[in-house]
Amino acid sequence: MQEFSNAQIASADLPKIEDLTFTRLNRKLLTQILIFRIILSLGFAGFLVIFTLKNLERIPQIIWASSIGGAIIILLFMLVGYFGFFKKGFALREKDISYQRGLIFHKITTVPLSRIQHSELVRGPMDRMFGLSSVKIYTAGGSSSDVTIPGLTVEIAENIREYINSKIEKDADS
Amino acid sequence: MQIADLSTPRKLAPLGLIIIFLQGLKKWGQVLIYGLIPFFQGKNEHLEFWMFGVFAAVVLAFGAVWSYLSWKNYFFHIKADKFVIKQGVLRKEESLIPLERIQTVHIKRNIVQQILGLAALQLDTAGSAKKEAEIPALKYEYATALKTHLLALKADEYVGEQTEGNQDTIAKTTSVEEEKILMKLGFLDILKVGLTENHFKSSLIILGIFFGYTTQFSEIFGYEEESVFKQVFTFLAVIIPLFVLVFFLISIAFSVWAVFMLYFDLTVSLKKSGLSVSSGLLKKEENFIPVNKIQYIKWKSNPLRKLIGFKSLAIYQAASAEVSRKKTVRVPGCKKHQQETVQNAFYPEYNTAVNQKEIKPDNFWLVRLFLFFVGIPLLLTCIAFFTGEILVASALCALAVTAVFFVYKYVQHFKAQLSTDLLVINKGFVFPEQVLLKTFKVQNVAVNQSVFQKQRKLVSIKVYTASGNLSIPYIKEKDGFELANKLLYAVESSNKEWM
Repeated sequence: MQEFSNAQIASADLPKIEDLTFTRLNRKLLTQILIFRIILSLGFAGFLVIFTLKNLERIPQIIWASSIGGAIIILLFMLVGYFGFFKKGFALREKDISYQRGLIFHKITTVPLSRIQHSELVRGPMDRMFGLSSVKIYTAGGSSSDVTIPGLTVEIAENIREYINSKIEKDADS
Repeated sequence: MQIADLSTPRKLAPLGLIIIFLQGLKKWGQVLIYGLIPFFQGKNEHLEFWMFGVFAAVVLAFGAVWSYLSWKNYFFHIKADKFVIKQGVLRKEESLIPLERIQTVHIKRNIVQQILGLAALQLDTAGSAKKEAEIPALKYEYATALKTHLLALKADEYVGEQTEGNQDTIAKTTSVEEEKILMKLGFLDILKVGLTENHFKSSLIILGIFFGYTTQFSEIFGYEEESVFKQVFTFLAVIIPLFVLVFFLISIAFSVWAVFMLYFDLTVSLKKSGLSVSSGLLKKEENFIPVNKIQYIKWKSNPLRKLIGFKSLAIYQAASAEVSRKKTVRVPGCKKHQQETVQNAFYPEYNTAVNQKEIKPDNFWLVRLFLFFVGIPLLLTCIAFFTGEILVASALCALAVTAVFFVYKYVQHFKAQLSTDLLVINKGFVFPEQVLLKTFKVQNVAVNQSVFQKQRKLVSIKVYTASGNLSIPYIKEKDGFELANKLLYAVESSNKEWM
């Protein structure tokens, strides 16, 4: 047996994920999210207008219902998008990476670096327009547990990936 | 039996031709059935029955030639630490499986293979969703010999790679090791298991098969679907009580039949390196589960099983979500002492873990579940009551009241306990289950908190493993973060192989 120690650690001394300071994502992502949501809202509004016009003769009151209802839904949608951005963030520790998001349903996912299968740099068309990049982290925990950190500048994204890869390789060597 | 030189390509057993033909027969049979459709629909008057005979003969002849060519073109051998399978008639395929990637080797025998003295050998590779390699027909003795040979080769690879591995891997490489038979399920025990199955499940399956076939037949033979269902349902309405009784009996018979098919001659043996499970009446399956591949195990029970002191064991192995169902090995009918043996062998930490603090869900979870399982039936009760359907209303009300009881009991029975090495989760009232998960097998951890939970300082924890995820809902924020931190610490400070 090699050098081995198994000292008990009081739970108060363990590193705490609740004390992590999360790095906020790039501000450009906020613009991107809002533009994306505006486009979706326009699509929704267009659908609502057509639906209203079609049923206007049968049910005249529908015009009020759909305009007020539609406005509230779109407003909430935009607000959640806006404030939700400030809840997103990532934190890198020596041995794991955490990502948090969600305004109404908040979620912190922490992936130990030793459990990462591989990582990817993803750049969609909108990302390229904004000069942003996402890091996608795959684990063996199934697709529901894969973590994607969006809204990173290409440089930071590459740095994160490099860091992860160096840790994975070191793990494989030892 | 001696393994002949595997460096040159080898063929399947000659009798394997029959197996390949029969396997293909499913495909050819489908072609035949579709060929039948125009004859039965009678839309085309020029069709006569002898034409179908010719058609069938052509299809079968083609099938026979195709099977022969597939058999002739099937080769396997070992080349430079890789297992090579070459196959294909028109589209040639060559699969290379690095020996060290082979996780387990299964021997499978269906009834035809048993009669012909043949077996299929399945090579299981690590976690990928890609279909595992299967050699369909080898002489049984040869298959078993090849299995041991492959596992031994794999072990050699292991030794070559890491001369100074930790103790676990060294124990794994000793090819001859003592084997202890943990349990053999006798006839009476299987009967007991069959009788105490979850019969609701069986009846659902029967219903599914029944409706599946009626729709299929009506499609093929051009029946009007609706009229068939109408007839069936009027028929049912007349003799419903009798039908329920018969249906229940059929369900029980079906459960017993299914259990016999799956678990006949079930033998579980324990080795230091893993667990070997073999069973099956018509289709004999042998599984070997290396300790490393076990992600977590689950003990399950139901009221009937509790009565006779049986528990079922489900072993979850590492696999991508797509194939995880296949990778779960089930052992029904474990008795108390067998449960203890398994626990002592693979989970020696169990006793420490169950002495830890019990983490229980907050009553707010109960409120949320009530809202759904009691609130909705009550709402429907009101609607039914005001529309004058008193009978429906009282039935729904009764449902709501029973839901109160079961939901309350369900929440009360939930508890999680964590020691440094082991996470134990208990849940379920009618169908209790207990999950044992070694902490270093965890893949990642998520802490969820909705705005409603935030007000009450509660969180839900989700633990992801390589074989599905486990949740611990609505626990105190402090407990939740402590649990997550401890799990992460356990994972990050461990250098044991999780697979």
